[in-house]
Amino acid sequence: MIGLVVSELLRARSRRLVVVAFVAVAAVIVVVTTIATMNSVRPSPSQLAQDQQRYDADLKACMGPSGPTSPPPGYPDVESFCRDVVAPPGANTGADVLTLHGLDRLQQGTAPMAAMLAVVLGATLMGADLSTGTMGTLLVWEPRRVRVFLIRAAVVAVVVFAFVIGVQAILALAFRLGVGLRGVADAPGWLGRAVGTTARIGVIAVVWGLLAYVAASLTRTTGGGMGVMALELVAIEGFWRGNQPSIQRWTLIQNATAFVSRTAYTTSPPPEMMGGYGYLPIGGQVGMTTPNEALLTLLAYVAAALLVGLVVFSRRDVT
Amino acid sequence: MAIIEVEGLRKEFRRLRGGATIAVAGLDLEVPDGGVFGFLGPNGAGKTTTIRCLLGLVRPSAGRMRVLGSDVPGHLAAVMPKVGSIVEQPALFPRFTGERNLQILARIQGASRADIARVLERVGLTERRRDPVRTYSLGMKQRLGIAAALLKDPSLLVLDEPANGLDPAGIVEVRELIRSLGAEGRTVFVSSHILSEVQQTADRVAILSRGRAVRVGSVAEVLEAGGARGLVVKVKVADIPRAQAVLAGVGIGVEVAGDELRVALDPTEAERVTRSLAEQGLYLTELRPDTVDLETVFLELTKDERPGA
Repeated sequence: MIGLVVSELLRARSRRLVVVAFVAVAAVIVVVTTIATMNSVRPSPSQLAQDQQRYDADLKACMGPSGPTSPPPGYPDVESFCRDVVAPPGANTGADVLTLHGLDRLQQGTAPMAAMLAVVLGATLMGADLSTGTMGTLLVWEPRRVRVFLIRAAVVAVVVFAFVIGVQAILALAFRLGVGLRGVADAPGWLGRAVGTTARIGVIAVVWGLLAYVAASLTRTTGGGMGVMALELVAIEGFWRGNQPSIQRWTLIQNATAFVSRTAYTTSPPPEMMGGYGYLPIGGQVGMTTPNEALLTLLAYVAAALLVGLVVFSRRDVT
Repeated sequence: MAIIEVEGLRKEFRRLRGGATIAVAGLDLEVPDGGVFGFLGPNGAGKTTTIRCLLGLVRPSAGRMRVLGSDVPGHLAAVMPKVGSIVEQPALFPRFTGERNLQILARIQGASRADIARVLERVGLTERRRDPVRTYSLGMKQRLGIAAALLKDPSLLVLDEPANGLDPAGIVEVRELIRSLGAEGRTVFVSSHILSEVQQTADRVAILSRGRAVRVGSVAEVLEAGGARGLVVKVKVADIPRAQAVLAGVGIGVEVAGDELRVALDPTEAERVTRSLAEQGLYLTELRPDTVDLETVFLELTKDERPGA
């Protein structure tokens, strides 16, 4: 079985798309970060001091009577929650200029792109083999289809996760270099936050990659796999959710957002609680879905999809 | 012992709009151990589908199959390590070298680098092993596919149209390879519609038409069943009736076939024909055995399947 795993990893590496996508994304990160660094303006010491005061005040307010009375789910105490949700010092220096700051939030902003890339990778790692005939070659070497399907799914997960980790590492490195030159350093503990966010984005990317993998195995092409995912996002998560907001609790995007941002959301939030935004901080009130619940929902989707894919793959003709 | 046994194999492909296409319609087949077995049939006769069923790629609608003594697809996992195969074109990664392509497959069953070197040597690709497969000719890709099949050191090789698309030199290369593989005790099950190739390499053949085997046996048996017997004698003079009368007069059965005389006589007795005609002043321009080839038999047996036949 180890031999099959190694062989599958080699196969995955053989896909030019994997290498090309990584190099392209890395190049985009370097270019964009360079431009951002050139345009970044470092605030004056007085502006930074002012923002530190703003932070201290916000933190105090959060931990006071206007904040949550008990630690929200997932937090040991109210203070750790407040430190997580209050904009850190350096984030609001008041100047109407670009300032490189806040790696954690920047990373969160890249999560949708990571998910899209994961869809492409997951779809190609199954679809290409089915459409070019190399799946037939593999199955005459290893006819146990359940084993092939599951090991390949594991390889998809590993490749997608490694891809995201690599990309996020390049992003973090480039960003830190930019911050060192013309930005504002993040508060202590930035590395731990960056690692945590990277891991969460990696998990979400794996979820999307595996869903695309199953979709490609059902449609037998890379394009088909990506098409199914696009259809799901546009038709179900777009139009249907627009007509029936109650399904929001079950959509991929909503659950992925909650998990990556570690921000809970409500299924039917009262307007007065929303303040014009779709999300509430953890510790909010009604019909709440926590990040952990969101992750469980996504994992349930993946498990169900893999089960369906496995049954079809093990019974279907390979022509 | 039969290395492949097929009983009543049937495969229907259902169409989306209802109905079904019958690719294999109750095929019975026995392939003996050792040597080269030719699996013949026109396009669409069901050869590739049968092979896919044997290899577990396609699920049969009905019937029973045994490969190397084990039921398939039930025991595929036990059987496939001893079966090497190419189905249609060998599916390879074009950007990888020939050697790397083999390494990917070798990992699955733990074949060593020495095994890879051995099979590359066997198919004559050692010097090109480090070139990307996309730079290979069609014949070289086919040989690399055979090398991949040989990596398992298989008892049974299943080759689907191995000479397809090859130039004459490539055909000769593959033919020699198949012959040598069959000669060393392996069973080579080779499907083809290039009949001259099969006639030159196979010990036994099965001819498939409309998903059924219409003739199975040794090449000689199949040729004989197709009417290969006696002599065909061509007479130089225009007087074929006189030559017919002369031969009939000495007790040789003869019939007119166009501008030839077809003589029912064992080829070792050809001397009787030449002497009898020469004594009467009739001289031959040609005397040749009636060599009905596999193509003639094949066309005759599958004529219902060809448009306009």
